[in-house]
Amino acid sequence: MASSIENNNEKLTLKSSDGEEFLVEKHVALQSTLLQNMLDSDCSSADVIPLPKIDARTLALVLGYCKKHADASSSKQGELNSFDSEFLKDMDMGALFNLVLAANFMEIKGLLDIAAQKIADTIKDKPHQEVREIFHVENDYTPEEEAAVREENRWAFEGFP
Amino acid sequence: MATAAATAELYLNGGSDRDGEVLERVQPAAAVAERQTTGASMMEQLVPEITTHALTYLDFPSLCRLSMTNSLMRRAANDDNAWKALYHKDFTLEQDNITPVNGWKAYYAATRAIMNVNAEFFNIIRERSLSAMGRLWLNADYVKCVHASGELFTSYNAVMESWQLAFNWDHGGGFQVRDVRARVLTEMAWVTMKTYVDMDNRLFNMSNIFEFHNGRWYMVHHHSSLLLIDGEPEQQIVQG
Repeated sequence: MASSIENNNEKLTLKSSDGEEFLVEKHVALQSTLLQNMLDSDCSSADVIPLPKIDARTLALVLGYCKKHADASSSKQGELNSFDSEFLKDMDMGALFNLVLAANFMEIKGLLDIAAQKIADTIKDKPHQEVREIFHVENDYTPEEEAAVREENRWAFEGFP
Repeated sequence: MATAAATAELYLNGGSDRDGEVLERVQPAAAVAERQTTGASMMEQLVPEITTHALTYLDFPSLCRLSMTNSLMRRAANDDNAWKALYHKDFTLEQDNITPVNGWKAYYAATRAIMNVNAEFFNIIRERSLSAMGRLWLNADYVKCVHASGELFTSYNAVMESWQLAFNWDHGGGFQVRDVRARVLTEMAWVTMKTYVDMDNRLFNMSNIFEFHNGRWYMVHHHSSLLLIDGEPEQQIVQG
């Protein structure tokens, strides 16, 4: 009902891909543009909103981020920044990727930005062999192709002659 | 209830959940099947928009390293828009409407090469190395150099003599090069910049032109304005 949406204490139920349900306050859910659009388009909050691409572990992380940012939106930015960097600290690459996918899907720009930045920071300044391991990328180049690709990118790794 | 579920389905692109598979592959099925990968690479699970977004956080060596990991990564890391964005971030917001013939990665690489050569020109001046200046310039009769004195020198030998003279003047004090802008075509490039001396309000406007020969760039033209103070020519104190 439209009238109940005005109620600040209103809660939504989100359901993860593995069937776990999360009760979320509306102002927390509004951090997600996806959920905001769904609420705007007349979905009653009594309904369970399925998120079939996001597992419970990832969804719990996402909602933790949303809660912090929703509650602190008017307070100090510095506190949020330190929360953000602490939030992703020590997170393994698999969890980080799940988080990026979830943030992208749920349209949570701030989370998408910090998670993408974290992935970028992880591979920055690492040799490509190590990047392969980090991303579990299988080398499918023939020796000839690999030599050609190396040549194509040689400019990036040398200074002025 | 039905409305919510239907709307959710709409937002989820009709994607259905499959047991045990948290991340539904967003790559077209054909592309995945064609590759027969063992052990799904995490990157392949990212939708193109996210990959492009994540790539905007990488610097050029990281992007190049990523493209060296495998063919799929190469396609992602060579993305034209990613390199265009990086070009505008690292060099200039100008040249927004150009279409580089070999794509933005090649244009980025060519621009970086020119920026390096141009920076080398100023290093040579700082070090006053006539031999290095000799290697920088194209040995041709048409190369030209206009110094801050206003004098014009034509041909390789005359230009080198002019630099020998210039290096003998005790210039003292350092200088700072700012607002460097390069435009690069296949075999020619020109660069404009401001060179500040001593104080912030004293500067030379400069232009350098380079030609590409035998796999490298050579300087063929250098032109300096007279010394400007607050954008106006200095009064009669210019060294002749």
